Amino acid sequence: MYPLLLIADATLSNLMWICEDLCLPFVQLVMVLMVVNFLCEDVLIDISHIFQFWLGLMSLFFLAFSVVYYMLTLYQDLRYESEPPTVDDIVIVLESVVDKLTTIQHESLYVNKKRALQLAVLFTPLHWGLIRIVSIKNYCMGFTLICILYHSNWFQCTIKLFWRLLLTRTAYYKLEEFFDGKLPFWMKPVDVSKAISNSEHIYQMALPHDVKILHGCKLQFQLQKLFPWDKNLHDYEVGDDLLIIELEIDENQRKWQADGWIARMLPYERPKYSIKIGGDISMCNSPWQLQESSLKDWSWLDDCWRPTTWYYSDSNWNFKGLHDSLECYTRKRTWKRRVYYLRE
Amino acid sequence: MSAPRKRELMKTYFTKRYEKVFDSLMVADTTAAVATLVNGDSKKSSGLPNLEVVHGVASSLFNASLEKLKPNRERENVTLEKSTESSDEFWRDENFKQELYSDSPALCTELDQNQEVSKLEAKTRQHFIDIFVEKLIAKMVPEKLPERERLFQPNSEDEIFAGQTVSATKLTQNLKDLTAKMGGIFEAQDSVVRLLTWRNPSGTVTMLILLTMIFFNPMYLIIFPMLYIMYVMMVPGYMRRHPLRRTLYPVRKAIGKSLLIDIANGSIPINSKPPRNVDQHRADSESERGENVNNGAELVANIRDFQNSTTSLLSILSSLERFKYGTTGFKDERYSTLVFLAYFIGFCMLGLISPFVNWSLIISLASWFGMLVIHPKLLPRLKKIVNTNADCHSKKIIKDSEKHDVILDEPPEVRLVEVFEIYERGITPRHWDFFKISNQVFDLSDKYRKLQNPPPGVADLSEVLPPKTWSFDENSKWEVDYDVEKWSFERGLMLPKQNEFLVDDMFKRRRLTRKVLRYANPIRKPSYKYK
Repeated sequence: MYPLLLIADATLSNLMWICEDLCLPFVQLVMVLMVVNFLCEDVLIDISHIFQFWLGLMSLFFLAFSVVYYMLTLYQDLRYESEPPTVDDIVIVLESVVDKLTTIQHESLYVNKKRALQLAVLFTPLHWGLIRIVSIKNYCMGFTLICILYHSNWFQCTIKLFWRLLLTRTAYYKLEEFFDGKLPFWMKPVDVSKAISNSEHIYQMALPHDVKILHGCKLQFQLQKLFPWDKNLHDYEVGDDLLIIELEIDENQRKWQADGWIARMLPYERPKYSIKIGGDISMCNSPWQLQESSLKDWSWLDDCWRPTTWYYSDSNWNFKGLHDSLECYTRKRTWKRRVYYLRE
Repeated sequence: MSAPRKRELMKTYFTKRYEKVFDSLMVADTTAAVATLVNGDSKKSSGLPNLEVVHGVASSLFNASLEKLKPNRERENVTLEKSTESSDEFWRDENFKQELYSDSPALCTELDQNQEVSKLEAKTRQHFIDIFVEKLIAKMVPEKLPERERLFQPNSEDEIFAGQTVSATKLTQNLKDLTAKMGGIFEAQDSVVRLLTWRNPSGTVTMLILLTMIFFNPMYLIIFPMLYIMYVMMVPGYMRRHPLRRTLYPVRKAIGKSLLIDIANGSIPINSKPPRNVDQHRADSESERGENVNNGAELVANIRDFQNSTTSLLSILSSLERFKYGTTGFKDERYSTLVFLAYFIGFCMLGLISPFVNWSLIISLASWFGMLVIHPKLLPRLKKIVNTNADCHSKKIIKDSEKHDVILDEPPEVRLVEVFEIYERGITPRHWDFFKISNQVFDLSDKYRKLQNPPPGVADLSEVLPPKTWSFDENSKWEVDYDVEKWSFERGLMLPKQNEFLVDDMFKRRRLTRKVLRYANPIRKPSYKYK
């Protein structure tokens, strides 16, 4: 078992290009490419073609021989030389293999069946076009090259560095949207009536008789007394007389290295002001723009919008804490104001 | 605090009081020293007399200490500070607040003060040595130093000043910095040597593959440096700052071998021994670098390498010089002629053949072949084979042909040299005694005659030597010039003539000429050879 582990470890480190001598995997890569070249080559009687053919064949033999040689020497070393491996040795190699496997799994693209199908649909015309432009041979060689290099530090770093670009992210999220079939939800700002009709925080309340007959400002004043803004509406008696809705508008900000916290957001993420409707985040005007429009049957319960403290989160809006720290790149606070509707 | 201040006050008082005296003293001293040096030069004595050197050094020491007393040295200090500050600021990390603001004055005051004191000391000391060296140079070289061409016009007086002076401390500081920073270059040199000697076989093969790619498509000459900057310099930098979290597990001993490396090392049998000393050396140097403790050892090693590299640089330069002044300067005429013709034939051949040759293939094959040939295991065997086959026969043929194929028969340059046969008036006006044969006319205005010295010359014609690089034509004799009118007129001598003689009150002389020949002008020499 131990030799197999060693072989697996060596193979994985070759695949991830983390061996001590980087030139060796490079030479092997070149040989693999020559073999691919040889396999995809059309048979032509021509000096250069014969030469390439010969090179490919030789590299194939050489690769095969070096694999066999490696295994043979490995077994030989284990059998004749030095002391038998200690438990520590075996555990270290095992851990190394497991670690490499998890890294590779982590790095490879997450693809389920549906996504695979979508990718296939998308890439078929692309493939077709590519094959028209470059020959099949070059296409195969390029594909092999990318496959072999994918798990190297260089490739991964390149991906990470490209991920820093806004352009890349925009393109990625555009593709994602396209696949998910969702239209961007923030195209049109939500108006008040929609916000009210789709609100999740609806409370039905019972009212004393002397309050029911009041109107306008007096009613509002009484209601404010009955339901102070800092008390939870859950705690009151449920009834049919009054509907109260808590409107919540999130103000979002992002931290930029140059300017600090400002309201400039990335094009693919939630806008400056957002509201949650039906579990989705939608674009919204600022609370003060919102209160300009008429409420129809509803009236404001509170006099003004009240903000919460800032909630800090990472770049993907995963909540991190109430204080700014190095891992926080976004933050939001919620502006709250209640509206009521008195049933006759 | 009071004592130094008092001393300072005294110093300024003294300097102001005696500045003028100092200045006049300095001027007098400098001129005297220069005068002695110039005189020494004109005498063409080899080197400076010891006494004068001692005098020069002592006087410049004296001058430097005088100069140091003068309180106008702000200019240099300002420029110095500027340069040190800007270089320090670069190494602060922008991502870490503590590094950015650590040098605020509130935090580390005591350290700063100490540093400042030491800085000031260094400056004053440097200042003194600089002045000393400057004075010394002013003494040794009376004229202004030649200026170098500049890419950019200097902006301020300070820059011009900094570029003009010779500063001993600056020079040593530069040397020190240079040796500290040369480590990378020596490492690169090491790796190149390792590649060329097959000590790193996979690396050598990689190099050959890359070279082949370049030969087949020169565009890779631009692409590879770009790749190098991206993936050998920038990606490791990125990974250092943002690690990819890949753990490398330590391996006690590498088990299993690579076929390629074993073939290249030439030992497929199991008990192979890699070039042990090389590996050890590499491991040693790496551990040194890793620990970062043996900084002093590294610096000394760098200095040693620097010294060795300057030696080899000098030898390269001298061989280049030999080529420039010897081979291309027709020192050995036959050899140079052959070289020129060989180049010409090569040029013609290349021009004619090159369109029909697949150079990429040939050069890449040649490089593979060359690298295989210089493989340390292969080279001795090949040498053996070549040596057994080689015969002296071919060498003989070459030597014979070399002797007779180049004909060097350019007509030599011909000139006439003149000497004057001078006679002294004897007891009677008719009586003349032979005086000397000289290259001087020795007329009344002659400087030797004014000093009442005999002119330089010899007593017999056979003792006359031709000018340097010339030789007398053995087929010609000394001939008397009978056209006295002409040569005396050419020299502006209005003296009575008597046959072929030109006569004055004490001496008479006649002009003798002889043909001298020269095959070629002397070869050029590098400027430092003319002394």
